[in-house]
Amino acid sequence: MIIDEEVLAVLTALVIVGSVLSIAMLIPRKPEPFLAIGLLNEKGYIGDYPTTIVAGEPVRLNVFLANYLGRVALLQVRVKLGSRGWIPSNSTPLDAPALQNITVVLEDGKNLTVPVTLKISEPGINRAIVFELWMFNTTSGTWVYTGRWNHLYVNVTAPGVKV
Amino acid sequence: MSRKRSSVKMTSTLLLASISPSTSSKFCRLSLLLLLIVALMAFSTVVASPQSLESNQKFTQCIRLAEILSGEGINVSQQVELLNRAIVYLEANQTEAALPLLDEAYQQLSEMYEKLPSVKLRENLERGAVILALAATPALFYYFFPRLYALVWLYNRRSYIVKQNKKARK
Repeated sequence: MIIDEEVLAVLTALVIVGSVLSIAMLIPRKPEPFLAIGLLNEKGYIGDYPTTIVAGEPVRLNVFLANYLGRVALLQVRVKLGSRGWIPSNSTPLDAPALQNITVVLEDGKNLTVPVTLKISEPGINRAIVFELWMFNTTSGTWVYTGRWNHLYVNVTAPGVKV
Repeated sequence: MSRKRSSVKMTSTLLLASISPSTSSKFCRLSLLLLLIVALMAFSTVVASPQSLESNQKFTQCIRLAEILSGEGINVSQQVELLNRAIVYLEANQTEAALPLLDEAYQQLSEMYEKLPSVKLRENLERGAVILALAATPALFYYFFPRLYALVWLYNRRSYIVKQNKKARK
Protein backbone atom coordinates (compact mmCIF):
# COMPACT_ATOMS: atom_id res chain seq x y z
CA MET A 1 0.00 0.00 0.00
CA ILE A 2 1.33 3.41 -1.00
CA ILE A 3 -0.30 5.25 1.89
CA ASP A 4 0.47 4.06 5.38
CA GLU A 5 -2.48 2.55 7.24
CA GLU A 6 -1.80 4.65 10.33
CA VAL A 7 -1.77 7.82 8.24
CA LEU A 8 -5.04 6.78 6.63
CA ALA A 9 -6.57 6.14 10.08
CA VAL A 10 -5.55 9.61 11.28
CA LEU A 11 -6.93 11.25 8.12
CA THR A 12 -10.20 9.31 8.44
CA ALA A 13 -10.49 10.40 12.07
CA LEU A 14 -10.12 14.03 10.98
CA VAL A 15 -12.81 13.55 8.33
CA ILE A 16 -15.13 11.96 10.92
CA VAL A 17 -14.68 14.93 13.28
CA GLY A 18 -15.31 17.37 10.42
CA SER A 19 -18.48 15.64 9.25
CA VAL A 20 -19.86 15.28 12.79
CA LEU A 21 -19.33 19.01 13.41
CA SER A 22 -20.98 19.85 10.09
CA ILE A 23 -23.99 17.66 10.90
CA ALA A 24 -24.28 19.25 14.36
CA MET A 25 -24.34 22.69 12.76
CA LEU A 26 -27.01 21.64 10.25
CA ILE A 27 -29.46 20.28 12.81
CA PRO A 28 -31.79 23.16 13.78
CA ARG A 29 -31.74 24.03 17.47
CA LYS A 30 -33.98 26.32 19.46
CA PRO A 31 -31.94 28.66 21.61
CA GLU A 32 -33.43 30.22 24.73
CA PRO A 33 -35.85 32.89 23.51
CA PHE A 34 -35.54 36.40 24.90
CA LEU A 35 -36.45 40.02 24.31
CA ALA A 36 -34.30 42.97 25.20
CA ILE A 37 -34.89 46.64 25.82
CA GLY A 38 -32.19 49.23 26.40
CA LEU A 39 -32.09 52.93 26.99
CA LEU A 40 -29.62 55.04 25.01
CA ASN A 41 -28.91 58.75 25.12
CA GLU A 42 -29.76 61.30 22.45
CA LYS A 43 -26.75 60.26 20.36
CA GLY A 44 -27.62 56.59 20.63
CA TYR A 45 -24.94 55.60 23.13
CA ILE A 46 -25.08 54.06 26.59
CA GLY A 47 -24.43 56.65 29.31
CA ASP A 48 -24.40 60.44 29.41
CA TYR A 49 -28.14 60.52 30.12
CA PRO A 50 -29.88 63.75 31.07
CA THR A 51 -30.23 64.17 34.84
CA THR A 52 -32.07 67.48 34.91
CA ILE A 53 -34.71 68.45 32.44
CA VAL A 54 -36.96 71.47 32.08
CA ALA A 55 -40.72 70.93 32.34
CA GLY A 56 -42.42 71.28 29.00
CA GLU A 57 -39.19 71.07 27.02
CA PRO A 58 -38.52 68.04 24.84
CA VAL A 59 -36.18 65.31 26.08
CA ARG A 60 -34.59 63.20 23.37
CA LEU A 61 -33.61 59.62 24.08
CA ASN A 62 -33.29 56.39 22.12
CA VAL A 63 -34.81 53.04 22.96
CA PHE A 64 -33.03 49.91 21.80
CA LEU A 65 -35.11 46.80 21.14
CA ALA A 66 -33.94 43.29 20.27
CA ASN A 67 -35.97 40.22 19.41
CA TYR A 68 -34.51 36.74 19.87
CA LEU A 69 -37.78 34.85 20.31
CA GLY A 70 -37.26 32.75 17.21
CA ARG A 71 -40.21 34.44 15.50
CA VAL A 72 -41.62 37.82 14.58
CA ALA A 73 -43.06 39.81 17.49
CA LEU A 74 -45.32 42.82 17.75
CA LEU A 75 -43.72 44.90 20.47
CA GLN A 76 -44.79 48.03 22.25
CA VAL A 77 -42.76 50.34 24.42
CA ARG A 78 -44.95 52.17 26.91
CA VAL A 79 -43.39 55.30 28.28
CA LYS A 80 -44.65 56.14 31.75
CA LEU A 81 -43.80 58.52 34.51
CA GLY A 82 -42.95 57.14 37.94
CA SER A 83 -40.81 58.27 40.81
CA ARG A 84 -38.06 56.91 43.07
CA GLY A 85 -39.43 53.70 44.56
CA TRP A 86 -42.39 53.72 42.21
CA ILE A 87 -41.13 51.78 39.24
CA PRO A 88 -42.23 48.52 37.59
CA SER A 89 -41.05 45.06 38.64
CA ASN A 90 -40.30 41.92 36.64
CA SER A 91 -43.89 40.79 37.05
CA THR A 92 -46.00 43.92 37.32
CA PRO A 93 -45.99 47.01 35.15
CA LEU A 94 -46.18 50.51 36.58
CA ASP A 95 -49.75 51.48 37.40
CA ALA A 96 -49.61 54.77 35.56
CA PRO A 97 -50.98 56.02 32.26
CA ALA A 98 -48.69 55.79 29.25
CA LEU A 99 -47.32 59.10 28.05
CA GLN A 100 -46.38 57.60 24.74
CA ASN A 101 -46.55 54.24 22.98
CA ILE A 102 -44.06 53.01 20.42
CA THR A 103 -45.33 50.02 18.46
CA VAL A 104 -43.18 48.05 16.10
CA VAL A 105 -43.08 44.64 14.43
CA LEU A 106 -39.63 43.19 14.93
CA GLU A 107 -38.19 40.20 13.13
CA ASP A 108 -36.34 37.40 14.87
CA GLY A 109 -32.65 38.13 15.41
CA LYS A 110 -33.09 41.80 14.59
CA ASN A 111 -32.68 44.90 16.71
CA LEU A 112 -33.94 48.41 16.37
CA THR A 113 -33.14 51.79 17.88
CA VAL A 114 -36.17 54.06 18.11
CA PRO A 115 -35.79 57.78 18.85
CA VAL A 116 -38.16 59.02 21.57
CA THR A 117 -39.01 62.64 22.28
CA LEU A 118 -40.78 63.30 25.56
CA LYS A 119 -42.24 66.28 27.29
CA ILE A 120 -42.84 66.24 31.01
CA SER A 121 -45.17 69.02 32.03
CA GLU A 122 -44.92 68.91 35.82
CA PRO A 123 -41.75 69.74 37.76
CA GLY A 124 -40.56 67.31 40.40
CA ILE A 125 -37.56 65.67 41.99
CA ASN A 126 -36.50 62.09 41.35
CA ARG A 127 -39.04 61.47 38.65
CA ALA A 128 -38.58 58.16 36.86
CA ILE A 129 -39.08 57.98 33.12
CA VAL A 130 -40.09 54.36 32.67
CA PHE A 131 -39.90 52.40 29.43
CA GLU A 132 -41.87 49.16 29.65
CA LEU A 133 -41.71 46.48 26.98
CA TRP A 134 -45.02 44.86 26.08
CA MET A 135 -45.67 42.12 23.54
CA PHE A 136 -48.85 41.34 21.67
CA ASN A 137 -50.14 37.83 22.32
CA THR A 138 -51.86 36.74 19.12
CA THR A 139 -53.57 33.78 20.81
CA SER A 140 -55.39 35.86 23.42
CA GLY A 141 -55.43 39.04 21.36
CA THR A 142 -54.07 41.12 24.23
CA TRP A 143 -50.90 42.99 25.13
CA VAL A 144 -48.75 41.19 27.67
CA TYR A 145 -46.11 42.80 29.87
CA THR A 146 -42.79 41.08 29.17
CA GLY A 147 -41.25 41.94 32.54
CA ARG A 148 -38.53 43.96 30.83
CA TRP A 149 -38.22 47.66 31.53
CA ASN A 150 -35.77 50.51 31.83
CA HIS A 151 -36.00 53.68 33.85
CA LEU A 152 -34.17 56.96 34.10
CA TYR A 153 -34.28 59.20 37.17
CA VAL A 154 -34.47 62.89 36.38
CA ASN A 155 -35.15 66.10 38.22
CA VAL A 156 -37.73 68.13 36.39
CA THR A 157 -37.34 71.86 36.96
CA ALA A 158 -39.88 74.55 36.24
CA PRO A 159 -39.20 76.64 33.12
CA GLY A 160 -36.94 79.63 33.82
CA VAL A 161 -35.48 78.15 37.02
CA LYS A 162 -31.68 77.90 37.02
CA VAL A 163 -30.16 74.77 38.53
CA MET B 1 -63.51 52.42 24.43
CA SER B 2 -65.30 49.59 26.19
CA ARG B 3 -65.82 51.88 29.17
CA LYS B 4 -67.46 54.46 26.93
CA ARG B 5 -69.64 51.80 25.39
CA SER B 6 -70.72 50.57 28.79
CA SER B 7 -71.57 54.13 29.84
CA VAL B 8 -73.71 54.50 26.72
CA LYS B 9 -75.41 51.22 27.53
CA MET B 10 -76.08 52.46 31.07
CA THR B 11 -77.55 55.72 29.75
CA SER B 12 -79.88 53.80 27.42
CA THR B 13 -80.94 51.53 30.29
CA LEU B 14 -81.71 54.58 32.42
CA LEU B 15 -83.74 56.01 29.56
CA LEU B 16 -85.77 52.87 29.22
CA ALA B 17 -86.27 52.70 32.96
CA SER B 18 -87.49 56.27 33.09
CA ILE B 19 -90.24 55.66 30.51
CA SER B 20 -93.21 54.89 32.68
CA PRO B 21 -96.93 55.77 32.55
CA SER B 22 -96.43 58.27 35.36
CA THR B 23 -94.03 60.40 33.30
CA SER B 24 -96.15 61.21 30.30
CA SER B 25 -95.95 64.97 30.31
CA LYS B 26 -94.54 66.89 27.36
CA PHE B 27 -91.60 68.11 29.37
CA CYS B 28 -90.53 64.61 30.22
CA ARG B 29 -90.82 63.50 26.62
CA LEU B 30 -88.71 66.42 25.49
CA SER B 31 -86.08 65.77 28.11
CA LEU B 32 -86.06 62.09 27.15
CA LEU B 33 -85.60 63.03 23.51
CA LEU B 34 -82.72 65.32 24.45
CA LEU B 35 -81.13 62.59 26.51
CA LEU B 36 -81.51 60.19 23.61
CA ILE B 37 -79.80 62.65 21.27
CA VAL B 38 -76.95 63.12 23.77
CA ALA B 39 -76.61 59.36 24.13
CA LEU B 40 -76.51 58.90 20.36
CA MET B 41 -73.91 61.66 20.05
CA ALA B 42 -71.78 59.95 22.67
CA PHE B 43 -72.06 56.70 20.76
CA SER B 44 -71.06 58.40 17.51
CA THR B 45 -67.93 59.82 19.19
CA VAL B 46 -67.04 56.31 20.34
CA VAL B 47 -67.28 55.02 16.78
CA ALA B 48 -65.21 57.91 15.43
CA SER B 49 -62.45 57.56 18.01
CA PRO B 50 -59.06 56.18 16.82
CA GLN B 51 -59.02 52.42 16.51
CA SER B 52 -56.44 50.56 18.54
CA LEU B 53 -54.07 48.30 16.63
CA GLU B 54 -55.31 45.10 18.22
CA SER B 55 -58.90 45.85 17.23
CA ASN B 56 -57.95 45.76 13.56
CA GLN B 57 -58.66 42.14 12.69
CA LYS B 58 -56.65 42.10 9.47
CA PHE B 59 -53.65 43.50 11.28
CA THR B 60 -53.80 40.87 14.04
CA GLN B 61 -54.26 38.12 11.44
CA CYS B 62 -51.17 39.37 9.60
CA ILE B 63 -49.17 39.35 12.84
CA ARG B 64 -50.35 35.81 13.63
CA LEU B 65 -49.37 34.55 10.17
CA ALA B 66 -46.03 36.35 10.33
CA GLU B 67 -45.39 34.75 13.73
CA ILE B 68 -46.16 31.23 12.45
CA LEU B 69 -44.15 31.63 9.24
CA SER B 70 -41.12 33.20 10.89
CA GLY B 71 -41.25 30.51 13.59
CA GLU B 72 -40.86 27.97 10.81
CA GLY B 73 -37.84 29.83 9.47
CA ILE B 74 -39.59 31.51 6.52
CA ASN B 75 -38.30 34.95 5.59
CA VAL B 76 -41.05 37.53 6.18
CA SER B 77 -38.91 40.70 6.04
CA GLN B 78 -40.94 42.30 3.25
CA GLN B 79 -44.24 41.68 5.00
CA VAL B 80 -42.86 43.00 8.31
CA GLU B 81 -41.86 46.20 6.52
CA LEU B 82 -45.40 46.55 5.14
CA LEU B 83 -46.87 45.99 8.60
CA ASN B 84 -44.58 48.58 10.16
CA ARG B 85 -45.66 51.09 7.55
CA ALA B 86 -49.31 50.19 8.24
CA ILE B 87 -48.78 50.74 11.99
CA VAL B 88 -47.71 54.33 11.33
CA TYR B 89 -50.95 54.98 9.44
CA LEU B 90 -53.13 53.11 11.94
CA GLU B 91 -51.67 55.08 14.84
CA ALA B 92 -52.41 58.28 12.95
CA ASN B 93 -55.97 56.97 12.49
CA GLN B 94 -55.50 56.87 8.70
CA THR B 95 -57.16 53.50 8.16
CA GLU B 96 -57.70 54.16 4.44
CA ALA B 97 -53.97 54.51 3.90
CA ALA B 98 -53.18 51.46 6.03
CA LEU B 99 -55.71 49.14 4.38
CA PRO B 100 -53.87 48.60 1.04
CA LEU B 101 -50.66 47.82 2.93
CA LEU B 102 -52.47 45.37 5.21
CA ASP B 103 -54.21 43.75 2.24
CA GLU B 104 -50.90 43.32 0.43
CA ALA B 105 -49.19 41.89 3.51
CA TYR B 106 -52.13 39.58 4.24
CA GLN B 107 -52.23 38.30 0.66
CA GLN B 108 -48.50 37.57 0.63
CA LEU B 109 -48.58 35.95 4.05
CA SER B 110 -51.61 33.82 3.18
CA GLU B 111 -49.90 32.56 0.02
CA MET B 112 -46.77 31.73 2.00
CA TYR B 113 -48.86 29.99 4.66
CA GLU B 114 -50.56 27.83 2.01
CA LYS B 115 -47.19 26.83 0.60
CA LEU B 116 -45.71 26.22 4.05
CA PRO B 117 -46.16 22.38 4.16
CA SER B 118 -44.52 21.82 0.77
CA VAL B 119 -41.75 24.30 1.55
CA LYS B 120 -41.08 22.57 4.88
CA LEU B 121 -41.07 19.14 3.21
CA ARG B 122 -38.58 20.27 0.56
CA GLU B 123 -36.43 21.95 3.20
CA ASN B 124 -36.41 18.82 5.38
CA LEU B 125 -35.59 16.59 2.42
CA GLU B 126 -32.72 18.86 1.41
CA ARG B 127 -31.40 18.92 4.94
CA GLY B 128 -31.74 15.15 5.24
CA ALA B 129 -29.83 14.62 2.00
CA VAL B 130 -27.00 16.88 3.15
CA ILE B 131 -26.81 15.12 6.54
CA LEU B 132 -26.77 11.72 4.82
CA ALA B 133 -23.98 12.83 2.48
CA LEU B 134 -21.96 14.20 5.39
CA ALA B 135 -22.48 10.99 7.40
CA ALA B 136 -21.32 8.86 4.48
CA THR B 137 -18.20 10.99 3.86
CA PRO B 138 -15.85 9.22 6.36
CA ALA B 139 -16.68 5.74 5.00
CA LEU B 140 -16.31 6.91 1.41
CA PHE B 141 -13.07 8.64 2.30
CA TYR B 142 -11.68 5.48 3.95
CA TYR B 143 -12.51 3.35 0.91
CA PHE B 144 -11.70 5.67 -1.97
CA PHE B 145 -8.86 7.85 -0.70
CA PRO B 146 -6.08 5.19 -0.79
CA ARG B 147 -7.17 4.16 -4.28
CA LEU B 148 -7.30 7.70 -5.58
CA TYR B 149 -3.99 8.44 -3.91
CA ALA B 150 -2.46 5.42 -5.62
CA LEU B 151 -3.84 6.51 -8.98
CA VAL B 152 -2.42 10.00 -8.59
CA TRP B 153 0.88 8.55 -7.36
CA LEU B 154 1.12 6.34 -10.43
CA TYR B 155 0.01 9.11 -12.81
CA ASN B 156 2.78 11.40 -11.54
CA ARG B 157 5.34 8.66 -12.09
CA ARG B 158 4.07 7.53 -15.48
CA SER B 159 7.33 8.58 -17.21
CA TYR B 160 9.49 6.57 -14.84
CA ILE B 161 11.46 3.68 -16.37
CA VAL B 162 12.19 0.62 -14.37
CA LYS B 163 15.78 -0.42 -14.82
CA GLN B 164 17.58 -3.47 -13.68
CA ASN B 165 20.11 -2.72 -11.00
CA LYS B 166 23.03 -5.00 -11.82
CA LYS B 167 25.05 -4.08 -8.74
CA ALA B 168 22.21 -4.98 -6.48
CA ARG B 169 21.81 -8.28 -8.32
CA LYS B 170 25.44 -9.18 -7.68
